[in-house]
Amino acid sequence: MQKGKLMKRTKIRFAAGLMAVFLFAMPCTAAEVPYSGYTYDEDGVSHAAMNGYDVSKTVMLNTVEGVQCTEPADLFVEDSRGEIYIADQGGNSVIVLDTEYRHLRTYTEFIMPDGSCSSLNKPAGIYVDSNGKLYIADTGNKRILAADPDGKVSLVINTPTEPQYPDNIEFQPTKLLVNSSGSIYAIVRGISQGALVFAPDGTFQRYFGSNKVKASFKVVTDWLWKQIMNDEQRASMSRYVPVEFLSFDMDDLGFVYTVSNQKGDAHSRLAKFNFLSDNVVPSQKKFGDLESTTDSGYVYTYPIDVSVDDSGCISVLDFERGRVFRYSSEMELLFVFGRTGKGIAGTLVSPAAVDNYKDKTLVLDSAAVTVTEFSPNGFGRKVSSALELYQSGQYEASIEPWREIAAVSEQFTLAYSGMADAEYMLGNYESAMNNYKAADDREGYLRAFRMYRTEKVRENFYVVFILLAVIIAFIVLYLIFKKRKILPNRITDSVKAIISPVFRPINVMFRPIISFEGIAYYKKEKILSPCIWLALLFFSGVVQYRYTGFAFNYNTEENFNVLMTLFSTVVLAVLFVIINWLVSSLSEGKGRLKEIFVSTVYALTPYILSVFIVTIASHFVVSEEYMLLQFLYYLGIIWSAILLILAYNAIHDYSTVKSVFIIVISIFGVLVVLFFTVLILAVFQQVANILMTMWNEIMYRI
Amino acid sequence: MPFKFKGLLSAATGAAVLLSGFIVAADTSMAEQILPEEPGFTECARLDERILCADFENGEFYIEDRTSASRWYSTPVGAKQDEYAQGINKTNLYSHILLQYIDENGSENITNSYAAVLKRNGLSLEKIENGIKIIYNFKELGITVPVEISLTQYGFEVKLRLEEISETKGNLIYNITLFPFLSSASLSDRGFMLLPDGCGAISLLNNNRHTAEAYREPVYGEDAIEEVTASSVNKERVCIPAAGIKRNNSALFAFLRSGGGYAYVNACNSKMVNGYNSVYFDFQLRRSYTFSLSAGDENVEIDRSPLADDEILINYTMLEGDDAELSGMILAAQREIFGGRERNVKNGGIFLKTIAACEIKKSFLGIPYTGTAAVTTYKQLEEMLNEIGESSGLDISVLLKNFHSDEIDGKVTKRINPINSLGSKKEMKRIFDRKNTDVFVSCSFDRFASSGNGVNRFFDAARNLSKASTRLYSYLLSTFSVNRSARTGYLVVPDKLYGIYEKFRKKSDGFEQIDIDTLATTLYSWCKNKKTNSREKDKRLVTDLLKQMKADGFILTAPMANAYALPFLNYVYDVPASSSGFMMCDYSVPFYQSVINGFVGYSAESVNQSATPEDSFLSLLESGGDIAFTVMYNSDIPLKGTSAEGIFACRYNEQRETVIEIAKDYARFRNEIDNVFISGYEFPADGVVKTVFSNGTVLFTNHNAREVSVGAEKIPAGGYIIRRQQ
Repeated sequence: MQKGKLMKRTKIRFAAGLMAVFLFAMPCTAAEVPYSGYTYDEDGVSHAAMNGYDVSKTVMLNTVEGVQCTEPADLFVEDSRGEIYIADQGGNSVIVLDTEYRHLRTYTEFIMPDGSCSSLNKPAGIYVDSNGKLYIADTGNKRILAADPDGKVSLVINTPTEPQYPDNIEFQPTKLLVNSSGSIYAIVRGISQGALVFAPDGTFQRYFGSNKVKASFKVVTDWLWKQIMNDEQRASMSRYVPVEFLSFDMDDLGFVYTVSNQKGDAHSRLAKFNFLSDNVVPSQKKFGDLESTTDSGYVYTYPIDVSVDDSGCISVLDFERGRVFRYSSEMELLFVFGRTGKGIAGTLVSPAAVDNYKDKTLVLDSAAVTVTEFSPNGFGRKVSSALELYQSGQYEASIEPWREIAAVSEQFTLAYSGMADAEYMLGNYESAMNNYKAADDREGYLRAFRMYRTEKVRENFYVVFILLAVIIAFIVLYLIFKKRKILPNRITDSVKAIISPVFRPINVMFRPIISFEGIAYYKKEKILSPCIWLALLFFSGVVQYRYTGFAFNYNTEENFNVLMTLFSTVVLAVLFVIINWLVSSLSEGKGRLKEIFVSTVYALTPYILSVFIVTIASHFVVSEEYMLLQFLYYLGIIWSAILLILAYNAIHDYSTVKSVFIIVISIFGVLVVLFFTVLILAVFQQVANILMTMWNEIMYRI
Repeated sequence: MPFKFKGLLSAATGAAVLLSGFIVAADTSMAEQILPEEPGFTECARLDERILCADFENGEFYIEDRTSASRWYSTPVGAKQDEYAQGINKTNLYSHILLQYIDENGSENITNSYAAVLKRNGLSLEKIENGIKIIYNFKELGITVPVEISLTQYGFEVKLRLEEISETKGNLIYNITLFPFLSSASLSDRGFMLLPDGCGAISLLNNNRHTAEAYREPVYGEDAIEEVTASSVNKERVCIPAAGIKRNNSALFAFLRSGGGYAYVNACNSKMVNGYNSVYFDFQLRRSYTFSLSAGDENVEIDRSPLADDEILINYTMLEGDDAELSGMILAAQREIFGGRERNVKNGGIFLKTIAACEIKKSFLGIPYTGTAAVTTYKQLEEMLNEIGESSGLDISVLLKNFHSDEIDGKVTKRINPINSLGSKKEMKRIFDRKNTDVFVSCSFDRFASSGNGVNRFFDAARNLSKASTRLYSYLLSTFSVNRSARTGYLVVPDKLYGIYEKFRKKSDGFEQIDIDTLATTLYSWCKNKKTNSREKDKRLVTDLLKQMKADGFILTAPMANAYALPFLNYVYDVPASSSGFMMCDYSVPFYQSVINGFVGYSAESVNQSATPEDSFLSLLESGGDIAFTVMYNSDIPLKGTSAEGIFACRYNEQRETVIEIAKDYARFRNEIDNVFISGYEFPADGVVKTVFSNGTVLFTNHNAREVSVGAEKIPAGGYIIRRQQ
C-alpha cells in the first residue's frame, strides 16, 4: 500500500489514493521509456499498449573506472555470483562487472595448460557457470576456452576432427552454452546443421537442433527442376540449407531456445528444442514484429540474441529495430521495449546481446558501448505477479489482478486469456466465454461454450421441450386447417400475395422441373422475386463474413469490404447470367435474358439459405458439430448446381450434358472477363500514376 | 527574490549519484580580485559594473563583471593548448563563427571564421554604442557576416541582422553558429549546463559522459513542413529558447529574443570534441528538402531564396554569486517571457481531459460505416465533476476533446457545434455554468484533415520546397511506417490563420475558453509563389494572432506551449515531469514549470496515463502543478482501432474510486501547502527531493523503493512528508 505521510508537527496522515486499482509494488527510480508501447492481437495487427518496462540505468562502459571497451559482442550475467561478463571483441578481453556496474577484473590473457600465456582474439561469446568457470568463444583463434576464475585454462576445443564436421568450414564459435552435465553447446558460424555439442572433455559428440527449410513454392519448383537436371546444372542452382542459429539460451528444464533470421517467416524466428532436437513451438505462434512496412511489404525483425529468465519468460533481442520482445513461458507476447536511436536513454544504436538478472533485462550495445538496464515498472510488475499466480495454479487469486491489468491497458489480450482460463477453472463459463472472445482465443471459447451450453440446456430443459412441442403443434394444426380448408381463402390468398415473391424460389427448390418449365413456357415470371433473392445473396455474403459465430469466424472487421462482397455475390451472378445468355445464344439456346436471370437466381436459393442457416447455427454448435454445418453448406452448393442444370435444361431446351457444358463455358467466360477487367484496371492505374508524376513535376517546375 | 534554488532537483531519471558534494562551492579565490586588463585588449564599452573589451587585431573580446571579476571570452583562453580537439575541431575552437554553406553546385561545405576570415585578414572591428561591431568577411566565399555585441542592463546581447549578410559569389549560407564557445567551461571548472529540453535538463560540467552523443535539438520542435520519416522515439520539445551555463561562481544565461524559429540548441560535454563544456545556438537559415517525384527517384531541393528580413538576437544575462544558480536563470527567463508581470496565478486544482465522443465502427444491416458515439455525455460529465469536486473540494478545469463536429470531421474550427448525442443544450449549459469549473473546448486553426469551413487542401495547405502540400501522417506503432488507413492531415498556410480565426470569432457562440493545441506548439516554414517563408515569420503571425485572441476576450489553453505563446495563455497542460533523457545529461529539472509558476496555470501529464502513477504523483507534487486525469465515462464502447486506443485506465466508471482517492490525496496535499509558490529545491539523497515553498513549508518526496532517512525525517518508500514551518 502506497502511503504519503503528512507531518504537521507530530501528526502523520496517509495518502491511500494510489492503492486501489494500480496496486503496484514499490516504485523504483527509473525513467519512463521515450516511446509508446504496443502489442499485437491475434490477427497480427498492432495496438497501443502500456509500456511494461522503464530504463533504470544506462551505463557507458568506458566511463566505468578501470574499464576499456571498444567493441563489446556478448553479455552474460551469472546470477548466483552477481557478476556481469562482457566479451569485448575490440579489446580482445573479457570484462567483469558487479551488478552495480563496478569494475571487478578484466581477462586479457589466459594461462594455458602448458603454462604459456595466450590472448584472446575477437571473442564473440561468453558463458559462465555457477562456479565462475568461464567458457569463451575465442572466435578469432578458432577455439573454445574453458578457464577457471583465476584465468587458468582447463580445456581447449579446437576444430573438430570428427568426420561429421565439414572440412570446408572454419571453426568459428560465436555463442556458447553449458548444460548441467557439463556438455558444451556451441553455435559455429557457417554451420547450418544446428549447434555443435561437445562432451565435458571437449570431444565433439553431435549436432543439436536445426532449422527446417520451409517448403515454399520456389523451393519445391527448384527441387523438381533438380530431378531432371544433370550434375553440372544442379551445381549452378541455389542450394537451400537451413538457416543457422544466431544465438541460444537454455532454461532450467533443459530446453534450448534458439533465434535465427528467417526472412519473412515469423514463426521460425524463435525455436524451442527438447533434448531430442525437436522444435516444440506450436505452429501458430509468431515472433517479433508481425506487421509489414507499407512500402516493401517485408517484415523486418532480425533476432540476434535470446535469454530465458528464472520465471521462464523469454527475451528476444531484435537487431533491426533495437527491440526486446518479451514472451511468457507459454510464448504469449508480454511487452515490447527498446528502440533504435542515438543519445537517449532507452534507445540502442547497435544491439548485440541480451540477458536477464532477477527481474531486470540488460541489453548490450556494441556501437554505443553501453549496457542499458530495463526494469519492470508498476504495470510490468503487476503483469508478472498475475502471471506467477496463474502459472502456479492460483486461478481465483489471479482474476482480480488480470482484471486490473485489462482496465489499465485494454489491448493486453493476455489479461483476458488469464481471466478466461481462471473463470473456466472456476466454472463461470459465460464469463470465460466473454473473456476468451476478448482474447481472440477460439479454442478456449469453444471449450467454455460447450460447458455453457450443456449447463443451459440442463437448466432449461423443460422450457426447450415445451417450445418444441408448441412449434410442432402449430405446424400440425396449420397443415390440418389448410387441408380441410378451414382458413378463409382471402386470408390464405392475401398471405400468399405477400409471401409469394419471397417464397416462390422455395417452391422452385422442391419442384424444380415443373417450376422451370413453367418459367420457360409461360414467360410471365415477375422480376421482383429474383431481385429480392439477389439482394439476399448479397446479404448472405455480408452475414457470412461478419456474423458467423466467433469460434469459426477468422475474418476481421477492418478487412471487410462492402464492394468486394457486392462484387463476389451480385456482380458475379449478374455477369454469369449475361455470359450465359451470350454463350447460349451462340449455342441455339432458347432462353431469353429475363428467363435466364430468373432461373439462375432461383437456382441459387439452396446456397443462399444454407449460408443463412449455417451462419445462425454456428453460434450454437461446437467444433465437432460444425462439420455438420459444413456439410449443409456444401449440400446447398450441390443442390444449387443441380438446380442450375435443370433450369437450363428447361430454359434453353438443352440436354443435361449440354447444360453442364454451357455452364462450364459460362464460368470460363466470366474468368476471361475478370482477367481483362483486372488488366484494364492495372493499365488505368499505371496511366494514373504517370499523370500524377507529371502533375508533381509540373507543380515542382512552375 | 521570490524564490531561490539552492541546489538541483533530480526527478526520476534513474541516475544513482550521491549529491552530497554537488552544490558548487563558491570560488572565493576570484571573488575579491579585480582582474588585470588582458594585453592587446581595449575597453570599448562600459555599462554599470560591466565592461566590454576587445582586441582590434584579432576580433577577440570579453565581457567582464567587475564586482565578481568574472569574464566571458569570445573564445576560451586556453584554447590553443587544448589537447582533445583534433582536425577541424581545433580551428572551430578558435572561431567565433562556424559556417555551413552551399556552393553553386549545391554541395554542402563547412568552414569557420578562424580559417576563412582571421587567417585571411577578413575581420574588421569597430566600436558602436555600448559595444562593438565585428564584420566577418569570408573573402573567398563572398560572404560577409556583421555581428553586433553590446552591453545591456543585465549582461550583453549579440545581434545579427540577416538582411545585412551579403552573399555575392553564389555561395549561400545554410547554417551559422555564433560564438560557440562564449558559454563554455574548461576541465577545471565546476558547475552545470542547463538545457531547455522538455521540462529542463542539467548536464554537470566534466561529467565524463563524453562517449554520449552531443545535444542538438531544434528550438520549438522540428519544422512541421518537413515530411520527415517519423521517429519511433518520443523526444520532448525545446519550448523555451534559452540555455545556461554555471561556471564556478558565475553563470551565463542566453535567451533568444528573436531568431528562435531558426535556432537549434547545442551542448557538448568536455572531451566530446575538445576539452570544453559548451552550450550555444546554431541557426538553420536555409533548408533543403528530399523528396521523390516518382518511385525510386530521389530529389533534393535546396532553398536558394534570399534571406528573410529577420534578426537573430541573443540576450545574455550575467549572473553572479547567489544568483548564479538555476534560480537566477529561472528569474531571467521569466523576465524575458513575461516582462514585468506580477505572479498572481495559483495552482492547486484538477485538470480533467475528457473524451466526449469517439469515432467508432457501426453497422447498418451488416454494412459497416464509421459513426460517432458519445463516450461522455453531459450528464455523465456532471456526475464526474460533482463526485470529484465534492470529494476533493478543488477547482476543476475540464478540456473537452472530440466535442464538436468540426473536430470529429477533421476540419478547421469555424463553429462549435456540439455533438447531439452528448445531451441537450440545457445540460450543456449546466456544465459550462458550473461554479469552480472552467471548461475548455478543443479547436484547430492550423491543421485539418478534411477540406471545408473555407479551407481547401489544394489551395490552403502549406507547401514545402517540393511545391507539394506537406502531409501529416499517422504511423503504425510497430514498424513506424505510414498508416495508410488513417486520415492524412495538412497544415494551413499561416497567412490564412487570421481569416480562419475571424470566421470562428464571429460564430464562437459564447465558447470563450478554447484549447488552441498545435497553434502554440508547432512552427513551420512554407513556400508560396517561389518564396520561402521562415518559421520566424510563422512565429510572428501566430504571436499576433494570439495577441488578438486574448484582446478579443478568449481564454486560451494549450499543451506544453512554446515561449512565444505563454504570455497569452491562461493555462498550460500536459507539462512533462522529465526531459527526453539524453545520456549526456545528468538530471531532469522542472525548469519550464518554475518559469511559468505564478504566471500561467499548469498541470502535469495525466497521472492515470503513467505506468508508474505513484512516481508521477510525486513528480507532480514537486513541480507544483495541477493534477491531471484523462477520462471518459462509458465502459461499453471498445476503443480498439479507434483514435482513443492509446488512452489507458481512462474509463471513469471503472476507475471512479481510484480517481477520487487520488484527487482527495492531492487535495490534502494542497491544503497543507496553502497554495503558495515554489521557492527552492534540494536533493538531499539519491531519489529524494526536497521542495521548499514560499511560506517555508517543506515537502520531501521519496522515489525509492525503500524508506529513506534525511536527518531526523523518515520518508516512506514511494511517499512523501510535509513539514510546516513553525
